[in-house]
Amino acid sequence: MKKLIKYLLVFLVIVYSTFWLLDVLFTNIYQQGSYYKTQWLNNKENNVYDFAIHGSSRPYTCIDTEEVVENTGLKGINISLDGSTTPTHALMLEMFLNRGNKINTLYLNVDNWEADTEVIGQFSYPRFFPYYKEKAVYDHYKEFGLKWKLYRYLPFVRYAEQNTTWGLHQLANSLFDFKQPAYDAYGTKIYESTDYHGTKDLFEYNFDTTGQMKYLNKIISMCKENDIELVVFVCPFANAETDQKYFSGLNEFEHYLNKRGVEFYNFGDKYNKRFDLFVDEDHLNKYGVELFTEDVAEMITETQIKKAGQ
Amino acid sequence: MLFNSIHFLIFFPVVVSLFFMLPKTVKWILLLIASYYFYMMWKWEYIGLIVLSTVVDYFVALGIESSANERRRKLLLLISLSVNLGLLFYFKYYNFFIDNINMAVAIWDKEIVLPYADVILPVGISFYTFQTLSYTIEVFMKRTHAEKNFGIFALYVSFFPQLVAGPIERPQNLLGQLRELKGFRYENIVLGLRQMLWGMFKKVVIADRLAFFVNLVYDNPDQFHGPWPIMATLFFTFQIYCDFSGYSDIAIGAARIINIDLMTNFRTPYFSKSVKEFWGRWHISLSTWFRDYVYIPLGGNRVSVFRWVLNLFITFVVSGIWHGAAWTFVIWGLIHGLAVSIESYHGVRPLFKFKFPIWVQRSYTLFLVIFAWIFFRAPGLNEAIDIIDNMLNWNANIIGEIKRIETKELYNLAIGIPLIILLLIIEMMMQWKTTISLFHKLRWVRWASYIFLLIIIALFGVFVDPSDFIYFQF
Repeated sequence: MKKLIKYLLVFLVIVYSTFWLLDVLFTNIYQQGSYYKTQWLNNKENNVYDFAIHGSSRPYTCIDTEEVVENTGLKGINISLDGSTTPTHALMLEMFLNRGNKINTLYLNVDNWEADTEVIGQFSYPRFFPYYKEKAVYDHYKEFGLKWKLYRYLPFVRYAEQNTTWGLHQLANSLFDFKQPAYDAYGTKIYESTDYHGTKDLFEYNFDTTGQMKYLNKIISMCKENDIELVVFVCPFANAETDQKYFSGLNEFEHYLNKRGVEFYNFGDKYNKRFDLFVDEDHLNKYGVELFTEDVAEMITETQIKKAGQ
Repeated sequence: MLFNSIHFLIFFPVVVSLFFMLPKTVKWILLLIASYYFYMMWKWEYIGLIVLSTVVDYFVALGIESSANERRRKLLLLISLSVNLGLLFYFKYYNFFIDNINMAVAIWDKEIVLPYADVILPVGISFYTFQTLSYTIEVFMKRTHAEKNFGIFALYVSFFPQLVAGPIERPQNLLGQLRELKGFRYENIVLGLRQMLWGMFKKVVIADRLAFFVNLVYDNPDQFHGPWPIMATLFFTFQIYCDFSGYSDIAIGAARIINIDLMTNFRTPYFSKSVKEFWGRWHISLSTWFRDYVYIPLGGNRVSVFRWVLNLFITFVVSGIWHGAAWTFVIWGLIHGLAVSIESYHGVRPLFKFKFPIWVQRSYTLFLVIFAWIFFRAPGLNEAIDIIDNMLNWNANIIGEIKRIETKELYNLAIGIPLIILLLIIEMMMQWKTTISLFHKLRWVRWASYIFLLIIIALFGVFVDPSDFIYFQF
């Protein structure tokens, strides 16, 4: 028995050390890359932006940020992440600011169904793994349970579990940029397809304002602390059920934000049932992006004028 | 509970630690509780089926042994066969049977539709049913004694390492070991852990990684032509081998840690020189089960040549049906049955006088086995035919088809081939005397191999939503 315990301990020490070394090596290389948007954003340091667009895949794919920059003459960036939820928006913003970047106005898209969510975005969370040992990242994830704490202390386990996202192919990609990222120089990705793949049945995109709004409030606080003006907006839907419940939810949400000094713009129903402008229920195609980008540029100009007048 | 789950990673060390701490006389109680817990983690209600089989076969075997009346003995055996095969039929074949009746009746009257049973297949039912059946048959044949201790017999039926996907054990091998559970053996722990590690490598690295591309092609047979269905079928050939032999390795390794020797289930089957030899090296515990309880009772080879060949053919068709309630499995069994029958006939009355070189024999075997896997894997007969049809169609936009798939699917395709080569190299090295000798003599070679395997598992294993073992569905 003693022999077994001795060998098991030695073996565990060797395994731990090997994985620790692999962890350090992979983390350093992944942090140099730019294939995933988290990699690109986390390599941006000490920049000043007049505006930043933030949120989920909807603002990521529905706004031509370059066009907005040209129309408004302002310096802007799109820091949205596909597959992310409000908790992830808060984390991404915190990391972006921690790197010495400054934003004057943050335009945050809030998806109705997850304004109050405390669930991690399943697609986006592994993309923060190379930064897991940063305080902001670990503090964020450790609240979700034991597994998330273990990721911090068991080296390489997170990369092993998510080796389809990371793995050797992304190691090579991070070193040599074999595959170009999907986003452009402003952090936007626009769908090439113009076909509609979603359902045409109407759907209730209602706001639930009864919860704690933990992460939305965190973003509001962060903006106040960093002297950022926050504007919340909602990107268009193709199939919104615009009944009384929808409008009363909107009013309540607007009231909630206004009480906290946040301006709100709703574009959710602006192109409702215009299926020719969408690729699915909640993402615009390139024709839709052209139209909606004008709306966003107008919103930005309007808020900037208001800000200048204050 | 899956072997490739965090749950098992905690469950197994706890069971092993308690096993070595407890006195010899109560070790079996721990294993029985652990085995029932292991099964109930899947669906607790279905433990009742195992308990029912256990109770019936326990009393039937005692009755058979104590009776001198041949008619009574046969009646008791019939009760055991009816209960066990009845449960198997109801849960596994009833809906298939009704489906075919409804299809046949619909030719005359579309109004008549017999109702289907709303059940899900209890995991491992084919395995534990065959294991408990082998017990009553062996007692009936007077080749083993009935077990007096109900708890030990219950453990024989439900022993967790091999409960859901074998190896299907015989009472002569397993019952005695369960009665005499041994204490701590360093050598067995090392051998067991080593075999578990190798099994885990085959399952999570090879089988689960190859599964991505296989599923993509077999779930969308219309979208892939030329090399892609061929490659998917080749991948499936290694996927199913690694999935099932990986499970067997983990099961045998886990049992060995607690000093239980389970039978070998695989011996590099794809190196076989004939389909007949293949069945002596693939799922050996099932092949020998069918040999002992179907083929030999049918008369085996002690009959006319025609009858002998027919017996082989019937045995393989039954084996096909054992695998699943679908016509695809029947055809899979037919292909193997036909090949083994012809090979056996050729053995006594040669169809040609010359002997093929070994590489031709191996290529023929591999080709036939791979071809039969198409029917095994395809969701239905139409899809199997589509796959074969598309394999022959090289005029489609082959490059365009692969460009359409996602990056991660391309990655899975690209690393599939090196992983298969790595598997073949390691399996070949495991046969070489020099490697075996180096492995046994030099500790650093052993340890380097373990670390290498662990790194490969970490880099290429599939851990998100770990998949079931393919043979769980049988």
